[in-house]
Amino acid sequence: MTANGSEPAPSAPLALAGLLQLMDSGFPSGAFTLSHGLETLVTEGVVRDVSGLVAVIETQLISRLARADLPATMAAASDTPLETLIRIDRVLLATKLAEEERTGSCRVGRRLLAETRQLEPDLRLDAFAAAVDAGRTPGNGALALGLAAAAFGVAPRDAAVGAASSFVMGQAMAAVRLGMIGHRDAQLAIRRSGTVIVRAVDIAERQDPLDPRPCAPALDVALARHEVAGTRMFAS
Amino acid sequence: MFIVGIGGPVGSGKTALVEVLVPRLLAAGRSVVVVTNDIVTREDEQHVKATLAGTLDLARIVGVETGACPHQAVREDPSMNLAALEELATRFPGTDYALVESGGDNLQLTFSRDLVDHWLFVIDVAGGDKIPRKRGAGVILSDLLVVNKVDLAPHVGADLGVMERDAILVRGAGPTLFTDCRHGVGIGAVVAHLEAARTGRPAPTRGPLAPHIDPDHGHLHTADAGHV
Ligand SMILES: Nc1nc2c(ncn2[C@@H]2O[C@H](COP(=O)(O)OP(=O)(O)O)[C@@H](O)[C@H]2O)c(=O)[nH]1
Ligand SMILES: [Mg+2]
Repeated sequence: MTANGSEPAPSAPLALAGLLQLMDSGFPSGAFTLSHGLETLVTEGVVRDVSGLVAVIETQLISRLARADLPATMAAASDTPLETLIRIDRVLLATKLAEEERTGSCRVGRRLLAETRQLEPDLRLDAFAAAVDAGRTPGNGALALGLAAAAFGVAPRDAAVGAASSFVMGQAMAAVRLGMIGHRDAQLAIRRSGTVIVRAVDIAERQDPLDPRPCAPALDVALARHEVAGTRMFAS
Repeated sequence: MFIVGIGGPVGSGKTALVEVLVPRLLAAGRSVVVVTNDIVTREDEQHVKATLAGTLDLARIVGVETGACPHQAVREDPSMNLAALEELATRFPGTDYALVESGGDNLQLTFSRDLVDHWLFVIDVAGGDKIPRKRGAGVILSDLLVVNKVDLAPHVGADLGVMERDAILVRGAGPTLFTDCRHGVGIGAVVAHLEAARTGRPAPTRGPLAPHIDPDHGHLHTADAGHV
């Protein structure tokens, strides 16, 4: 339910299929190389089990993504003008304190733009990609994802649900590859995070994308520590 | 920029091959960038940088983390390698070669043709002379099979004749070259192969540059280094 009480328009089935393609772990965005600080939290013993993982995911979604990346995704998936998107993109980058988060986000963004443009001709995608190429805007993954979703006809709220789900699944898979949990616990963590995804998207809907307010100091520290870590399976 | 993937099992000599290829390519007047894919640390990136310091501008060597999935990073989702290559191409326009070393993998590794123009698969004699007949996708489908560490063949009882025969059997017309990266033997033939591939000329791998194994002595002859 939105604030005014009306149901948001759902995505058409074809758009939904497109959303699933974009959010699939097989979609070549490079997102699987990022752990967003989880690698450090696991190797330093801060996160040890499935409940620890679910807690990290909740912090990531509620304190970070809901207040920064997801609102940007929704703005990009709506018909926000290019110049506004560029302002959102720049301010979003400025909230990412760790270097690896900034680099990772922009690399994923560029790849998403490049790959999606091969699949679906779209003027907004082209215009944003041109601004990225010209160095006018950093091209965060969150915005590229929103634009890609819109090009596939996906509604903004569905794009945010997809982005959050894909993030959760990425964290669970990273935990498996780090050897912390098995395949069953990974699915348990994803399932248990379902309600958090919905909460995060609700918060994101009310968050001004031009005034993002992520706040997760423990994660920022983990991300910063990763830059000097000896074990580096992931790029963040 | 001609993008060359270098795959193969851990320890077969992929990094060593990059480190001997780069000076040879530079000597031939070619410009080069290198992307390494480490699995857990920045070991390979640092090794290549240390070895090539003074030979290649170190900014031309970039390491990419692969999220513990070295095959995914060159096959299903080569995004981060593509991103690194794009950045290198922008910084060093007009570069002739990009060498992309995959993180060590198994014999099934293949490269995405959307990532690389050409790819090499490196195995070594110490892994056993039965490797070619195990028919991994890397052994069969690569554009060039490199059998490395021929200097160790007598020590591990590997029969190079058997390896060459099996390689021809499973690869058909696909070329195979024998190298000893430690002593720089057989590298000229690899360079000639790459130059042919890059310029679209037919590869000279069955010609005079091909290594030839002396059936009587099991010795390896190569065009650039003679007797091994
Ligand atoms: N004897 C011998 N050793 C080699 C040769 N090529 C590589 N090595 C050694 O084999 C080890 C693994 O090589 P490396 O290039 O790191 O393998 P990678 O994991 O495939 O990159 C190192 O100790 C190299 O010095 C070779 O042709 N002969
Ligand atoms: Mg190596």
